Amino acid sequence: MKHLSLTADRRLRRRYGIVSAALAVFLGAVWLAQLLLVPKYMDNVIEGNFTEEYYNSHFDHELLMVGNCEAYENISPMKLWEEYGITSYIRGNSNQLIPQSYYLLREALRYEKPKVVLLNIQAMAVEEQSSEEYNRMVFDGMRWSKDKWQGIMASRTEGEKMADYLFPILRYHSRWSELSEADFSYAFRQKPTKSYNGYYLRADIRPYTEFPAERRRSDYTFPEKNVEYLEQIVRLCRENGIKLVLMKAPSMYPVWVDPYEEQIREFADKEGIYYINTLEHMDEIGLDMSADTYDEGLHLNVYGAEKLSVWLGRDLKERYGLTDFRKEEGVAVFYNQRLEEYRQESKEQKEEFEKLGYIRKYKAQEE
Amino acid sequence: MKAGNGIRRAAAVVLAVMMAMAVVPVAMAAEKKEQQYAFTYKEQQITVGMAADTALKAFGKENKVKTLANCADDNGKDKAYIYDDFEVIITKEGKKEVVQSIRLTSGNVGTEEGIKVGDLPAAVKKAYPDAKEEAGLYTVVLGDSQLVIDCGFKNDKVVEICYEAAGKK
Repeated sequence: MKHLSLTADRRLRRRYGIVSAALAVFLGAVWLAQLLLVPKYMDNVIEGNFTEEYYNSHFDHELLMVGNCEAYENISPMKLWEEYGITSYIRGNSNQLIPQSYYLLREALRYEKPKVVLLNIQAMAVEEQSSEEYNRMVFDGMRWSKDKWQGIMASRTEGEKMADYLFPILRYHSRWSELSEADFSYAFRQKPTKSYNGYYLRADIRPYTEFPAERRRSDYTFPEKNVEYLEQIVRLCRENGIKLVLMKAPSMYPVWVDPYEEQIREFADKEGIYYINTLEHMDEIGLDMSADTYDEGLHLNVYGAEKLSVWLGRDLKERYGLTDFRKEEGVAVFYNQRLEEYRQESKEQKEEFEKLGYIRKYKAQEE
Repeated sequence: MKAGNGIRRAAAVVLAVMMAMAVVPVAMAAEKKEQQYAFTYKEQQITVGMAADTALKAFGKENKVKTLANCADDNGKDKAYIYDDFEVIITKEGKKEVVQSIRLTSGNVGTEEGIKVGDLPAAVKKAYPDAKEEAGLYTVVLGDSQLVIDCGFKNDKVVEICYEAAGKK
């Protein structure tokens, strides 16, 4: 009887063992598939890497910039470093909404306490996310925290599920037919850093041409949700003793109409916040839109971004007494190395553009 | 036997009526969905949401193409095709390019109801009695589409006419 019981026990254990092993193999396969299928953003749309690259940066930035592409394509932290020794980073993404900027800022404050936060305010006019893919680029690379959870909840599009963020394979399982070499190359190893402290470097030139006027609207009031989140950003900065600066970057489209300007000015005056509309200082900055933009006026190229950074850096340094870290070895080693890489890429892009009339890696994106 | 036939006949009539009742609203909904404002150009009807290549083929060679999106992304770029008398905005829906809006910018072209740039607000009201006016913008909805006729801040004459998806502010 005892012998029989032992045999049954062994059989049961064996069955559990087989089931456990099968489950482990299945979960392992799912995990591997997920690593392979999640987009790597290495080929042309490199902006999908920006959120996660922040975690590899040298923390303790005195200036933290937040916003959509008007932030990460128009200001060069490398130039701010080279010119003034300012340590800075841009937490920006494509179509980053105001609520998303709030949660990315709140998360950043877990890691560092900047002296100044600069928020580009173009997204105040954006009511909702135009495509789920933008949200994925903001949140896929973000570490899991209350900020990520609430950020997703605050900005998800219709039909976008939290489960797809918790288990990305649910979202990307159909990518198997479009896998590229980069998906295999970087499935199991660290991706190279694509941005320069959050800055998207472009050294091509496409002169400004006039944009068609947008259809007039009867109401230009900023969406209530954006105003609420802007107020939360103000509160967050005050609670942490951070100076907040609002900025409208010199992007010519979407058109920054007078009613937007009036609302921001009124808000900034009421809250006692410094607001800069760089569109009003184009000559002073030295911007020449026949040479300083890579996409006909939507964004500045590296030449324009450097001019804006020199102008902006001087103002912020004088106004807020930002530190010159160029003589602090521990900081300087990191920044000077990135500056060297930035100069090298800038030079390579310039040469390629002069030779071909375009930059190969961005060509597919532009077609 | 006769009573049985009567019951069968009555049941068949009831069934036929029920089927008709089920089919009519579906047909009506389909008809309503198909109804939308169209811009007629060289005898071809162009509607919002239609395939971009079909629309652009009908319009012929544009004067200029301008990329509009402010943030980069494979799916995010809108393009404006600019012609002498109108502009067409093309956007991506998934992998498909479709017409997002058509804006009439000169008096050489007009709506099917006869309104064109330069007309007076009275003509707009007459052509579109259901139009709602706000700050000089006359909006009239048909199915999934809407027509927004801009009579300027002064509300004195039509300066632009826009075909777009219904509900857009």
